[in-house]
Order: sequence, then structure tokens, then C-alpha cells
Amino acid sequence: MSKVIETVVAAVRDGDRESAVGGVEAALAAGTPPQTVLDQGLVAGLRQLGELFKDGQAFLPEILISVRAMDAGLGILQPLLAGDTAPTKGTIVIGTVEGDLHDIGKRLVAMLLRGNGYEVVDLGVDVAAHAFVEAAAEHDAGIVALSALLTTTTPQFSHVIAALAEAGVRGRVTVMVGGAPVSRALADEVGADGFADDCVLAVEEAERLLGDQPGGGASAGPSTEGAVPAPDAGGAR
Amino acid sequence: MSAFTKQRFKEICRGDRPGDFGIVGNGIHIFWPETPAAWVAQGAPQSFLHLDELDYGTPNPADEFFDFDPSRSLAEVHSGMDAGTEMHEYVPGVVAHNHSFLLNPPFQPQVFEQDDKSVVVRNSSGITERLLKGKAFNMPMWLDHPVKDRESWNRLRERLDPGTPSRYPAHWEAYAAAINSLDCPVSMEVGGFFGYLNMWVGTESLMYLFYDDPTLVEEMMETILELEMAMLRRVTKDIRLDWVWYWEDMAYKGGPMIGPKMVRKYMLPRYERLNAVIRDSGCEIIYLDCDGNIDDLLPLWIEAGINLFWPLEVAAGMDPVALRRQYGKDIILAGGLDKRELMRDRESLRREVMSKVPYLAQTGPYFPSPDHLVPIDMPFDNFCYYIDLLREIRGDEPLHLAARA
Repeated sequence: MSKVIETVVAAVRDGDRESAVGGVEAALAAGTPPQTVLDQGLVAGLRQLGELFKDGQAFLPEILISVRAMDAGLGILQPLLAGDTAPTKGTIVIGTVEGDLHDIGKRLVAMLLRGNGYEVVDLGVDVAAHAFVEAAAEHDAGIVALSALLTTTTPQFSHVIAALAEAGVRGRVTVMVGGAPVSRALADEVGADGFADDCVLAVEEAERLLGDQPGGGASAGPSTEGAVPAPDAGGAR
Repeated sequence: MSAFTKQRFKEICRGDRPGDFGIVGNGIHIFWPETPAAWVAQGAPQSFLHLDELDYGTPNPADEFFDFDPSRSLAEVHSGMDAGTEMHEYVPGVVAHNHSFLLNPPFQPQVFEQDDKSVVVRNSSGITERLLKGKAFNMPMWLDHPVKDRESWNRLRERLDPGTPSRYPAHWEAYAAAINSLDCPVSMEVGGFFGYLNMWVGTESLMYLFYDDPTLVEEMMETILELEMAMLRRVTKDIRLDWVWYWEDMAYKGGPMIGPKMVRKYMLPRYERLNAVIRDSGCEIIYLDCDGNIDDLLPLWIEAGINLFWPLEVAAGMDPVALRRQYGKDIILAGGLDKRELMRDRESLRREVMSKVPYLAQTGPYFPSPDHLVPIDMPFDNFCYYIDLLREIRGDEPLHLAARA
């Protein structure tokens, strides 16, 4: 890895916006292809931060400033990438279920999924089951990700999964769930395919779920080489 | 069992009464305001319908029905979130909790816009939030917060003067005398640092602020510290407190929102200064309320002198039995009963209670309760059975509450 790419990795990992922008500009000026700057610089930096998070050395402020630094660098790269045939790693429709207005956890998951190369369709909060179904079909989503904060709203998970089945799209999408009262046992109980305890693990779970999907993009988008460990690698806090 | 006096409370907290514990309402068994009202349809007394309208200090029908051990909060003293808290009806049928989060005067609640499904309002703490229509229980979506920069902070801090007369009951001497005549534990809120900033700034913006303007974070926390120290000194001049209550809410199921290094830098010195004032007043019990997984933060809080922790959310990975084994009698545990199990059926409920309460009460100080506020989907029959089960463990006569209702 070149020195200038290392600067980009460190800048994103440390949440240093100015250095991220400077590093991306320097890498491009040195002739590094934009896709390489993205994969080996910005995405790699975000993943290093993810590892620190899992080790208990980084927390939400560090996640947010890291994503912000990545976005700053991406702002320079995006016009250059637009002409590239850079497919995403898959499309994920995400939202907080009907009757629940909780937002921040879901938004953090969406941010990190985007940062890790997924196309994310964020439906917002208080999303009806039929809206998840329609969005999944419209965007040909690989995953429908459901969030709930309250014990009173987790029953909506089953409603969404039933609606996906009723519409005949359940076989084409995987469903992952998360939120304060949600456990692996609850995920199994409602028939979800995946579950994550936090935003970093949500990215790993998406990798796992889409890796099993035809066209799920394990080979598409930013390279995953040496990046996020397997979901069962442990280390979750 | 003897009356729940100050002395008995103190002895329980010191771990001097193995097997004994309080079945306390105030600060321990807390209901979402909607819960008792929802229970009326399940056979609870009609008097449960309007508990939120009761003034502090007046007999609470729920406390009486469940025979909670007496405990008195100085909720008329505006040093935290309780004073002025109400269930505010913004438009017909849309009711939500309304806290002022230390701000005095509070913001005037206001309705900004509404459609068929929701209403956008500003609450007493200056937060703009969206509330759903047609919900028996409304957890808002925050849209905007009052502090955005130094200028807006300077405006907000005008509402944080410890000398504001309405922070204290009007007839202070009579109030203090009435409180001092009670032989039950008396508590007071002492604010918190992260929790209040989170309300004023908003979670995401606050996370950035720790990096973008750490001086402003320090300044806001210092303002809270000065307000709480001044109020504590004034109150404890006339009233003897048995426990005080910090509210932080700075963790989620994955762990704390900010790391231990930041807590040590920004919060620990301020806890230590405030706790010194608390200890000087003779108060031994310093309670901290933080949801989520607090394993990483507990050592810091203990170092700062905080010694009672609630609610110990099981869904977030908190295990009160493991905490007792790790910390012994040095800390007072409260909560830690998995509400999901208590809500399920009697067998699950009994298994959850019996696997924890007898051990925890026998091995150190413990106050049982569900691992957060009692939710609206807790069946009334389950809660009645739960209270009688606690009484059975403590050696009290059962109340046969379900039959009485």
C-alpha cells in the first residue's frame, strides 16, 4: 500500500476530515485510480475503525467522525467514479417498523452500510409493512432490515415478514432485525434470517446474508479483501 | 416485616440485612404513565386512570394497591427531570411525556404542524419532536434540539439558574419540616452530565461536539455541576437526604455511547466534586440510572463514589448475579429482572424472579424491579403475581392482588 493511501486509511480511521480530503487529492494526483482510492483508502479506513469499535477502543463519536471523514473524501471521488461501472455490493431496504419512531440506531446502521459499499434505501421511521414490500420489489433488494426500539413494536417484524411472503418476494430477500429489545432468539422466533447487536455487526451480518444470495455482490463493489472478519469471529461488545 | 424506615433502608443498603429488600415504588418500580391506565381494562382499580395528574406527596393509589414500601422523592425541587413532568395533551388524543430536563423556566409546549398520522410539537425542554396519533403509548421521534452552537447554548443557560425561586417549593420551611417528619427514605435528583446534554443537543450532534467543540461540552457540564451543587447545598441545609439520583442514559445494548476515556475526562471529575457535597451532607446512597449495557462504565462510576445502579437491562446483556459475584457487597443492585420474562407467563415470571431475587437479597444489597419502567404490554395479572412473589420471598403475607382487583 502506498504512503498516500495509508494517509487516507488513517484519516478515515481517525475521523480527520481535512487529512481525508488531502489524502484523496494526493492519491489522485499521484495517478492512483479512483476505485483503488475508494477500496484501499476510504473503505479500508472505515473498516479499521470497525475493528477498533469491536475491540472497545472506539465508540459512537468515533464512528460518526470517521463516516464524516469518509464522506468528505467520497465527495471528491464520486464525480470520478460516476463514469466507472462500479456496482454496489447489494441493495438494502432499511426502516423502523410501524408504530415506532426510533431513528438513531437505524441511521447509524444505514451510514455504515453505505460506507461499506451497499446501496441503502432508508424508508425512515414508522414504516408500514406494505411499504417495505413495495420498496424491496422496486429496488430489487437483497436485504430488508427492520429496526424496533420497543417491546410493543417488535411484533411488527412478523407482520413485515408475512407481508413479504404474501407478496411472493420472501424467497428473494433476506430479512435482518435489530433494536434495543431484539435478541437472536427473537429474530429466530419471528423467522428473520439475520440479527445484529450493533451497527458494526450489522455490516458483518449483511456481508453474510448477501454473500449467500445470487447476485448479492460478494464480488461486486469495493473489495472485501482483508477487511471485515467473519460474523462469527466474535469480539462483539 | 418491620416498617420501611430510614434505618431499615440504610441497613439494607449497607448489606446488613441479608435476605431483606425493599419493594419500592419511587425510583425503583416506575410505571410508564400509560401502563396503570391500560391495566384498568384488565381489572385494575378505576383510580389507576389518572395517576399522572396526582401531585407529588399525595397518596398514590398504585403505591397503596401494591403496598409499595414508603419512599419520598423531593420531586417539587427542580433539580432534575421529575419536577414539572406531565403527560401533555398536544392535540386531542395525542398525549406524551413532557419533561423540562432542568430548564426553568421551561419552554412553552407548542404544536407546529399535524397531518392525519402525526403531529410535530415542541416540548418543555425545547425539543421539536414528532408524535404519532392514535397510540396509547407514544415514544417521540426527535427532530430538533435547542442547543446548536455557543450562541444557542448561551440562551439556554439562562434557564439554568439555581437561584430561580420556582426551583423550590413556595413554603420552603413548612415543606422541609413535613419532609423531615417522614421516617422513610427521602431522595433528590442531582441531574447528570451526558443525559441532559443529550436532550439539549441531540445524540448525533453531541457525538460530533465532543470532537468539534470540546470546550463547549465542558462548559455545559460545568453549568450543570454548579447548578446541582448550589441546589444541593441549599436543600441539605434543611433536609436530610437518604439517597440521590443521577440520570444519565448514555448506553445502549452494545455498550456506552462514549468511551471510558471520555467519561474519565469529562464526567468523572464532576461526579467527584458533586459526590463530595452529597457525602458531606450525610447522604450515603448515590443512585445512577442508565439504560443499556454499562459494564464498561461501572468501574468509573464506582471510582467516583456512585454505589447504586438501576435498571440493569437484561436485554442489553446486564446480569445482576454476575455483577454481585464481581463486585460483592460494594455496590447496591436494583432492577435486573428481565421484563420480557415477567411479561410472558407465570411460569417464566417465577423462574426469572426465583433465579435472581433470593440470591441477590441474601448476598448483598438489592432492590428488585423489572429492568426498566413497567411497560404498557405487561399484563396486570403478571404484575400482581410478581408483587406477591416478592412478598413471599421476603416473608410477607401475600396480598392476593389479582383476586382483590
